[in-house]
Amino acid sequence: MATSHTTWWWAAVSCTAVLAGGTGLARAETVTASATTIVSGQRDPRDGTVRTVVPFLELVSLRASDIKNSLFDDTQIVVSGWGEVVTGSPRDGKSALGDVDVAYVQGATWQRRVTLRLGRQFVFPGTAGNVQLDGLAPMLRVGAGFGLSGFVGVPVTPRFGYSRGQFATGARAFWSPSYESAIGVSILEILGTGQHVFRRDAGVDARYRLLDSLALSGLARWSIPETRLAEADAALNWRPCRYLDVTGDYRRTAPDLFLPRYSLFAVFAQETRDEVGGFISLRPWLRRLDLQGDFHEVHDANGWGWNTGGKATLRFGGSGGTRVGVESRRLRIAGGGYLMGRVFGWQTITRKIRVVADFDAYDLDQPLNGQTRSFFGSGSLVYDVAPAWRAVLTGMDNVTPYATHQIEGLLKIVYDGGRVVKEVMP
Amino acid sequence: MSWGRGYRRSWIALAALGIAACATMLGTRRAKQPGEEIRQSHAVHAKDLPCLMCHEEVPEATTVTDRLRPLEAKCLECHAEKKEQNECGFCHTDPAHPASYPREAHTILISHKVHLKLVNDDCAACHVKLSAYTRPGPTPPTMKSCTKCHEHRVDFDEGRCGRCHTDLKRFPLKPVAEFSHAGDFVRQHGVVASSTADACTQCHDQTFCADCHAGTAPTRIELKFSENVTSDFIHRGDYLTRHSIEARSDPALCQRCHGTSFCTACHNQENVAPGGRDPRSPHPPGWAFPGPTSHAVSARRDIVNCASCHDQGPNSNCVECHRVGGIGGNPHPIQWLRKHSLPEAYGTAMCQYCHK
Repeated sequence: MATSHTTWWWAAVSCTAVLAGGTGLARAETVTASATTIVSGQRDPRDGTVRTVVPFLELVSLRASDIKNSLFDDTQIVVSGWGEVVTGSPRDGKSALGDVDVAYVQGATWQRRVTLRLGRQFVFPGTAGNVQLDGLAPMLRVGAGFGLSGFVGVPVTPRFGYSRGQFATGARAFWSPSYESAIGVSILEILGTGQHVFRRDAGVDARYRLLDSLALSGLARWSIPETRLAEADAALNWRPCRYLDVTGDYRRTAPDLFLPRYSLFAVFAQETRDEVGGFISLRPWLRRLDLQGDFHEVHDANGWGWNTGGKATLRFGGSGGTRVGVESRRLRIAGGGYLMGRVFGWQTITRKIRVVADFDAYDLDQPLNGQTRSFFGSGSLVYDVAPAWRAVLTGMDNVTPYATHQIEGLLKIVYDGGRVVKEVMP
Repeated sequence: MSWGRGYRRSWIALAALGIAACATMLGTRRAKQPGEEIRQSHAVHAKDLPCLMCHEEVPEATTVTDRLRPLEAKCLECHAEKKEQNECGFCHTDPAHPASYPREAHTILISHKVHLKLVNDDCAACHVKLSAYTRPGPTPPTMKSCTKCHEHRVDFDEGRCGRCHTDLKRFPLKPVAEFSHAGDFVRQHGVVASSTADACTQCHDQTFCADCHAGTAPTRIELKFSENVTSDFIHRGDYLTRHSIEARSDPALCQRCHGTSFCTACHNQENVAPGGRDPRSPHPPGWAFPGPTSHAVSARRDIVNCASCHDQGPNSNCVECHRVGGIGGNPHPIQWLRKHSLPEAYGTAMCQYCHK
């Protein structure tokens, strides 16, 4: 069975989580669980031949919260993982796979001023951005909105990927005057094999509500070894009423700084990419009609380009009723882009059954395998079998530059339920 | 490739889907809402009758449970003749299969016992829309009616939603204005989460994030939620065809989640990278040498694209020509030496591939 990067202490954490879970579940006030079974079959064109692949995938997640104990408040255990058996001709030659996406124990103490999270988790705040790691993430709220957070652990190796470092640590100091506003400064270091620097960044982040209808959010990440900006992102969102949403944003990235600092390729380039534009969403007929449009001008070493799109969704009929939508996108960059058109929709047939359809078409600026057109269609039949249970049957049909014709089928059975025993005592 | 045949099939499939959708729309009737098993109107009943006449359990209730709804015996106190006349449809929306109220999980924490005393048994003080409910189903109080008395700002700022809401992860509310997910939220949510991740965790635990962001995830989110056609999933549709264009357009976007080794693993299998069994070169003639189609310009401009096939450390074919003394010359950008010294190169394992 293939798993992501495993360490001795990760195994210890897993055992702790399972043991804590075993005793904790019984004492939790809220327990939710979901299980998704997916059986799919596809004809997979690969290296000039067509193979058949039939994966059986089981995804499970479990969350127990408000676990009563004498040490911590708001204690919760969250576990999510999957296992897969592939029959036919698996792409990577492995017929049995499995991994853990998330598995952590979290609790708060000292009048909820200190929060601790231990296990496999994501770290989002500050310059960490989105680091999946096996480790510990504490947070301390000092008072008056000020606080400190940090993390230490081993980055998780992604599927089909190499290690993303052997050790990661970081810290963030923040001031959060209200729940929707915060300003933070942070540092991050990820070391690879032999203590080589994978990433070493400092950053500033902010989200601030200037007015009730106006919010500013931004993030800047500075690469310490390269002494230059790796990423800057700023957005101003104006939402004067429920019918209108306008966002203007600017983003700068240095793509080469997203390579590990010890990659051989990190020494070749020093370029930036800039993107500026905006987004508008109109809801002239609330909960019925949604119109969206965006335009972004892109500039990099290859010159100027742009990315623009629009989407309209109309909903009518009660109880889910009917939804239809159209979407289009045009990406134009040096070296060629594409034009995409899409129609989609769903129709409720009975309270428990609905049909869903989606069709995409692409027109490429430059031929790919000698072709400039691509079509992708899918249709689903959704049946809400019982409360918390759902079955979905999906068929997909493609005509693409990579395959003259490809059909894929998918059957999904989902359970998503739980129990809540919270009680308010007079 | 027989494109003509492929096109025809696609259009036939699309037409069939369209016809099926139209036929269904014409033939369907409004679907029943959950909780509509029993036909009754609060607008009619609450006009003349005190609420507690039917909801007898409420004055002593410390939790919200199904028991707060009147049982059949209570209804029959007034409507017994309908049952005697077998007019099941008077109360049951589906007389052929008469059912009781469905079991429902409850979403707020409230003690009716405490609150009723405070409002002098006036249920409409909280259930302000009661007279507007002409159809059966839940009659929750508005949040505004709660915050009339309860100072909500402090709890909100401290993210203590659990004092009233049983579980926002399981029963998410429509985001309030400050956290509206309307507009360009899919694009902006990363920046928002970098500052106010705590706010996200009120409604979403990390399994929600893992659906899209876990490097360990087994399948694309578009397949996991194949029926969810209205969401803006990033790899929707024929992503395979457009992935090279989008990677060129925004290389950092791919790198955030995947890293170059993800690219290499697939490119090796497709035999377009040096690690394949029988690799074929996707590069134009003259790529390896100085000239108008030389790789040098492309590498300087989009090194991530090169790395998606060639990032094999010391086995990378760049080393062969670009090492010190090699025919490829110095590959570093102009500012490189301002920040990196030769002693540093001799002390760093990666640099020593070239600087032996």
